Amino acid sequence: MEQLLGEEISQCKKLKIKRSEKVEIPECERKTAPGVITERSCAFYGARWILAPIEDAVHIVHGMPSCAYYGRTVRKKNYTLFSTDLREKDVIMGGAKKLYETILQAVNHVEAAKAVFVYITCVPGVTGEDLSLVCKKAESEINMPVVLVNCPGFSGVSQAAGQDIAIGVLFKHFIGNSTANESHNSYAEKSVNLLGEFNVQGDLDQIEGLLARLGINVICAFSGKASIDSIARGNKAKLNIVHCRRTGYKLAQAMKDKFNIPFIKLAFIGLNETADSLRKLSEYFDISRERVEALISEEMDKAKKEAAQYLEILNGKKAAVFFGASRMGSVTKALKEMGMEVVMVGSQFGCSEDYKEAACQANEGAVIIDDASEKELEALLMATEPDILLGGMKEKYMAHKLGIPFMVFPQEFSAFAGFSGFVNMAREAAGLISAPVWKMVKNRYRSNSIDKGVREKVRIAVASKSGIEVDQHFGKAEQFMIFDVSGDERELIEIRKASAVEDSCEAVKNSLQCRLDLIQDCNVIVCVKAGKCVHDKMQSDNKRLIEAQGDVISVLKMLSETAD
Amino acid sequence: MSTNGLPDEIPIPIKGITYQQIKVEKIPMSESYIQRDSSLIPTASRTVSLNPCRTCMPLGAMFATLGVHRGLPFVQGAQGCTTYVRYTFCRIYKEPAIIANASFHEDASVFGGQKNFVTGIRNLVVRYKPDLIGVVTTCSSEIIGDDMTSFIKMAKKKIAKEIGEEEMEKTKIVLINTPSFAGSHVVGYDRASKAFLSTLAKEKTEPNNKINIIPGMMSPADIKEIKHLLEVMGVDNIVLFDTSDVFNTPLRPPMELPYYPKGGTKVEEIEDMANSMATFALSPHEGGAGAKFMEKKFGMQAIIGPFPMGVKNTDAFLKTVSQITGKPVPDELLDERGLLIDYMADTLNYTMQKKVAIFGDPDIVVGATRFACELGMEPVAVLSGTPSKIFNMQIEEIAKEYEVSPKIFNGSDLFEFEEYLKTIKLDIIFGNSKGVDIARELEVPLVRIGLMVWDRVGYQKRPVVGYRGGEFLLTEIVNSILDYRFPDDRTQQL
Repeated sequence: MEQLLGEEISQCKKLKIKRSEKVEIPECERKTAPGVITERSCAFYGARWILAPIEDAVHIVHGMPSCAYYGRTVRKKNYTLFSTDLREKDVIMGGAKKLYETILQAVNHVEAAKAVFVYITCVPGVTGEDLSLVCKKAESEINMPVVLVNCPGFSGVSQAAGQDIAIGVLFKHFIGNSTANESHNSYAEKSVNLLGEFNVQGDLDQIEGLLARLGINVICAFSGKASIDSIARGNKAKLNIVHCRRTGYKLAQAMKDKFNIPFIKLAFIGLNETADSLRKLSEYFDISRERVEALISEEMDKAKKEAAQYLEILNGKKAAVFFGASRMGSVTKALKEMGMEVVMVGSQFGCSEDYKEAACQANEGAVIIDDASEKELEALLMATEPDILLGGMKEKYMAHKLGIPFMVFPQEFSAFAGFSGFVNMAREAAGLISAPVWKMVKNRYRSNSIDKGVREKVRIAVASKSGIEVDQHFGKAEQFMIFDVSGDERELIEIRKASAVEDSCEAVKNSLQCRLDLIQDCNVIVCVKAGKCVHDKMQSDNKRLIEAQGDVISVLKMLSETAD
Repeated sequence: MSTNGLPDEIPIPIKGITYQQIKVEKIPMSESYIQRDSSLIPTASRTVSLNPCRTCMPLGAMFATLGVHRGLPFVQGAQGCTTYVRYTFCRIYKEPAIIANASFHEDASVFGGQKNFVTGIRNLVVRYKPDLIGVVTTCSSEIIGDDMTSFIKMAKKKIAKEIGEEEMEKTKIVLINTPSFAGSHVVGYDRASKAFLSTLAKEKTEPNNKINIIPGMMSPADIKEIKHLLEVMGVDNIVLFDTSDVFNTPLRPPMELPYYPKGGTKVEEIEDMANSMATFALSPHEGGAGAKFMEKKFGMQAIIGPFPMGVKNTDAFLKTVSQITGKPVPDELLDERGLLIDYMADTLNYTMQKKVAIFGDPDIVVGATRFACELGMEPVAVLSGTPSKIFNMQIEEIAKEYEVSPKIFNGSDLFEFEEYLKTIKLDIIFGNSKGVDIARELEVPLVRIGLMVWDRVGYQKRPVVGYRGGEFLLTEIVNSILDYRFPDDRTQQL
């Protein structure tokens, strides 16, 4: 039981509310509690995310055909994917021989093949069969590198583990392995790698176009535009640009250590961010200021002009962001640039740097959350009431059921990077938010606030440890969420911890008193249960005490409805 | 002269386009096509699997569990096992799919999944208060050797301590063993049908005058259509895994959180299934095990197949229902039948003699093959992604009846299928979204049928079963032939 409680408490640490004084970062890179409907995926998924676009390689899934069935589609695009189609017999007898034959056969199907990736899935991961010998043998037979991508689904806490594994494979086996006989200097003085850029709907083309106008040449984009050759030549770059921190940072660090290539974290999402990035690059490569400023002002003016009509719609609207990882920071910036408020930022597996970046950008009072589960997302959406949610496909239909417009990432129609990408993103967001369908969605919640007008403000204290559900007895409550409620408008003011005042209350009987003091400004108290003396006290103070269970928002909603 | 017997360069009245250019009577195999090493084409002679037409067992079991009212699947495996399936359901149905996961990490893969399971079930019960949890195992948990039966007991005991026996009793737990390496999603659904009935169905008491329907992995519209047929017949029914109002739900916020769709088979209904008159497994491969179980355990009549698609199969279904319930087939349905037959006659000139290739899950392929024959089409190749013992026999029976001789691929992958299609003449393909690339390559239309349709919208909202479903499917077939093979000036002259 203690252990279960421990997990519940730890779940709470992943949610923070932004307050201006100091930026608090949710605890991240933790294991997901079982059974909470996580939005995370597995290591194999992460490995495919990175390696799938490498088209001159043979990709073989050593495992079930289903992993190949699903793994074929990455970022909504289909890639050729082979599998060993393990059966019961292979699981028992071992699948090494089958893998060997599969490698030899699969290579025949890809004419331009220059390397073979063998993905290890859960089954060989659990049986622990040693496959490196098989790969060696195949390597000498087909005369190209055959490398294991050791990414069984249970590795790490999320797909991030698989991404790291895949990046590790590229670094260990391919980068710097160019056999072409050319000297270091045969590469343009201004050549870079882009790390963590996946060329969704032409994002990379936008970035490359801008860089080309400054005379900067991209050798390899990991892995939106990467071939075995260009990866091998990656070490010839003069600078590494980390576009996605999650997938790019570790590689950049490793390449700095091994090849002495400096790196810089840049983003090309949003107008100012793109402009800043170009300025930093031109500074690094000593490109004349006039040249870069001319480029920026030309593109900036054009984009601003085109985006103006959309920004009018977006101005003052509330946005919520729930992403895979580190784009959340730059997208949050771009949304702010569009004049929107960002009321919630979250991701499935972001790191503390990502959260710091996002939290700095988000609006006052915004919710910052790591690894939100389905139910937590629902509750947070009800609480923050955004006009649009940005996230992945799985969350889309859940948001729609709540009547919230949804913008899918990776985006479906046009590039979002660079100056014109900003216009695209604004256009799409404006189109989604202003679509007639949302006005037809009967939202009892919103229509109420119009009918009833503004009512008196009530301050409510909710005993909740998880931040999601009313789950604490009054006398033992570790924290209270304090809400200001007027009509149908709710605002989470703060979270008050009992531990903060408990030190000064030594005697046990005083622990009640210190909790009463903690919430003395509240008119209504919601908890799972409370003792008789608390009931009496509340009555004498003319306050309302409500014993309830369930998620906080539903209880609050129920309260505001029954108050009439 | 070109292959279609028309001179190469006769311009037709619009913009001087030649018939050659608009693909009239095009032979699929283009000149640039390079013949592959023939020894590497048949699945049997290679170990590599390319473009498989089946996914793994857990998907079928998750599908089934979601078809129960307030039912949640709990997957004992790694997070990807759930996430990929959730993506798949979202893509197909454009609806949220709530599926829980044991979040296996390295420790679970070494020490077993007991801790993850007990904690996970506890969290799921406390947070979601479901009526039912379908515990779905995966390849990893099966290889590790998790003893799920005792895990479930442990979890129940632990949760009962926390929230009380009575509360715990409100959530039923059904175990579905689905080691992925032992079969496809089709088998997963089949196993689920048996697992649910053997766990939940109670002993016979009073006859309920209903019939049981196990539809298989049909679309929401298909299940609605089956219910429509039975409603017109005046036959009460219990549909096991009724996903019709689960994967197709209205947008009417706000509702209770957590979000549960209105639909799904109620647990009480499953418990009552032994009191019914008979059990129909409309898809023999998906639900046959459940029907056979009911036959064996309760001595109840089991009717397995045929998939009620097209005229003859729908006739057969209604006839059997009529025999068992003693209720005649009403005029309204005979009119529906008449409408379909009228439609078939009117469009015969487009459909007849067209060569069709059909692929997908075995039951719908068999159903569609018969329907194609009824339309006067000629099935030239059929593929069941899931290996089946009866598929060949079923197809051969149809082939004999209509004097056609399709090449049969049983349990093969789409690569082999595609390579075969490149060597023959073909007019049209029936299949799911996995066939888009093939249809494009061969330059023939793809009429979408089956579970895995995600690249177009609305296919889950219109039935393909029953007489009315036949009309919809026929519309699809004819229109896609018209779109592909006739320039607009020719369709104007109908």
